[in-house]
Amino acid sequence: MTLKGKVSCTLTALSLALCATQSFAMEARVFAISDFVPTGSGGCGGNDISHWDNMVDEWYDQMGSEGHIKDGQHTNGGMTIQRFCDPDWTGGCADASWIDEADTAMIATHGSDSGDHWAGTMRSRWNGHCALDAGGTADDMWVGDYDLEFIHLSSCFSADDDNLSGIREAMYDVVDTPNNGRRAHQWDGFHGIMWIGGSFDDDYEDFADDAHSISMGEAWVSNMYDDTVDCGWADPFGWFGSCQEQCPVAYSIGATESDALSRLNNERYNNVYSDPTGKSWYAYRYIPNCDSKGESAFNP
Amino acid sequence: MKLLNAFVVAIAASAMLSTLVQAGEETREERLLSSKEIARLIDAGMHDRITENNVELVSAMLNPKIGDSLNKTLNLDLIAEELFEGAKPSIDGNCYDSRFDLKKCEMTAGEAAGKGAYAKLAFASDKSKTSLRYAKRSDAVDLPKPVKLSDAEAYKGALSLAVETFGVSEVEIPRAPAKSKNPYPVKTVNLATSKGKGVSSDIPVQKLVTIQRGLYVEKLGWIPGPGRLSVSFNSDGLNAAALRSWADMSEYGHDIDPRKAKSRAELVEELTTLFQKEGVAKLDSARSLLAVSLPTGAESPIPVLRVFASAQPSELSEKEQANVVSSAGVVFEIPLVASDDAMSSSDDN
Repeated sequence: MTLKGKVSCTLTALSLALCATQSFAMEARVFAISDFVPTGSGGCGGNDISHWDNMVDEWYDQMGSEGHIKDGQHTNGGMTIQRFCDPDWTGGCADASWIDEADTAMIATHGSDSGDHWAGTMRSRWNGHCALDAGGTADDMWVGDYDLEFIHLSSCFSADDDNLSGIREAMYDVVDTPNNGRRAHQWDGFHGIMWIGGSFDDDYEDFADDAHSISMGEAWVSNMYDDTVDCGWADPFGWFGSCQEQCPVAYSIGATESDALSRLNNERYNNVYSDPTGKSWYAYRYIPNCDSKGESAFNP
Repeated sequence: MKLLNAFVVAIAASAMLSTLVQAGEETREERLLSSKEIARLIDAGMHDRITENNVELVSAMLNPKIGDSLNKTLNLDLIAEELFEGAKPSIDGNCYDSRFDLKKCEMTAGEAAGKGAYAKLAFASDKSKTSLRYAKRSDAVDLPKPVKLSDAEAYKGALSLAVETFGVSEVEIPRAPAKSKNPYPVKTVNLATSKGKGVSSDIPVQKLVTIQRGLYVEKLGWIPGPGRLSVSFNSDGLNAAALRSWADMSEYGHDIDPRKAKSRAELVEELTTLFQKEGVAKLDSARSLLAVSLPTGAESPIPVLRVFASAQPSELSEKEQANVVSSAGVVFEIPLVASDDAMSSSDDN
């Protein structure tokens, strides 16, 4: 872990304003699967989507243009849950060498709503697992206890309205966090199905760019929202309600209500708060009644 | 023998159950389609207006109503004057020198890092397209105030910005007909908090207007054009705007021969091959529509068939969601006209 120059402080009512805002080069990493391994070949299955890694690389490249460190672009290969799971859950997990070693990371893979949490499809099985289960009652993924501040998921069902309460369970480590106080700051994802294609490339690039000018939460929701996907022939602009929407959600945690809200409303890649001191509260930025494919309208 | 058969069946059932129980994801359904089934779905999602002879259709698409090019109507000084409210921003890059193919610059006011107020306008323009992006933040002290604008007011503000400030032609902004279910392309953005049980606070903090560029075509009506505009308003007023890849239409159709329009069968076959090459085997629907799009690297837009490939049905219950291995949706675009250099189909620009 490199020296980051973070300010550590005790959060009191007065010191909230003082705790925040370090601006430094973040280590950015991207983990993308565009070539899935068929179950018949011993893999975890899933439609191949060749453009997916290109799309999220727009974020990664823009982060480099903004002066951050392009710390690793991992596409396909040996993508298993080992890169994302915490050794406090299962020995052999190596998140501290992969996702949790970054300051900000984007994961691109097929996702599902597995009851009370998101489950991301991997390429191959590790320790019996094809799915990375994160949040809710799942224990695979505990990030933020090593280094990670911001996690972005280009993945379906990664921030479903019925799973919001559980997302924070993936943003700290039940064993390490009580000792080191480290937690992730924000989780950005989608309610229901998200979409891939060349016309979405700009969304990822602009998100990275805008998240240096306006809050990360606003940058995520504004850039990732789309109201004209899967439209009917006679209704390409959605005037008659035939289109589906792409529904982004930005999410933060905090020890208090105002802490969670302030983080979501103000934190940026160049305005990084110190780690949250608790997860009792969460805040989320969203579009009410956003209606994506594969899900009902957003209504927690 | 009966006893042996029963025993074998029991062993098989037990093995299957063990496999199912081993990892929850294996209980999820996976259904791979054959190429015939994929072709059938693509055909089912294609409107009857696409026939075996699409020459007339493509000819119509090549003659939409087009407004003046942004290269002529966009005035960057005027835009900067309005967005920076009279303040003189710092400029980095080439905003004006058209001796170069690409004009690209950023105008900023304030410090990018930290908690203070800041505004940025990014501009890029070449022969094929123009992009503008504006973002503004206030001092980061207060928690958000509710936005008070109505959808109609937000839409009116966005239109004014587009036409009067950015120079977008009104001819290329589609208007919803009377009795539309969604007359305004405006969404409210909320900030909410919770401790886990119920919602503690829920504040509308922004109006987000997204306008898809439109081209009006005789006998077809409005079809999506190459470009998109989004405008956001918060309690302080305009806080962000983006004119994305607004393609220049001056040369549109000049080197496209409508007599080379692909037939319906050709389009279905091409899409089926594309889906298989891509590895899309799980598919629930493949709806398509007509559009004009600027492919990556192209100098001029072309008429395309835009296809939305989805492996999921529209609505899934929570129980169904837990039993389905989901796949993200994919947007593909293929040219409606065959080209001499056998342009390959790909995802959209």
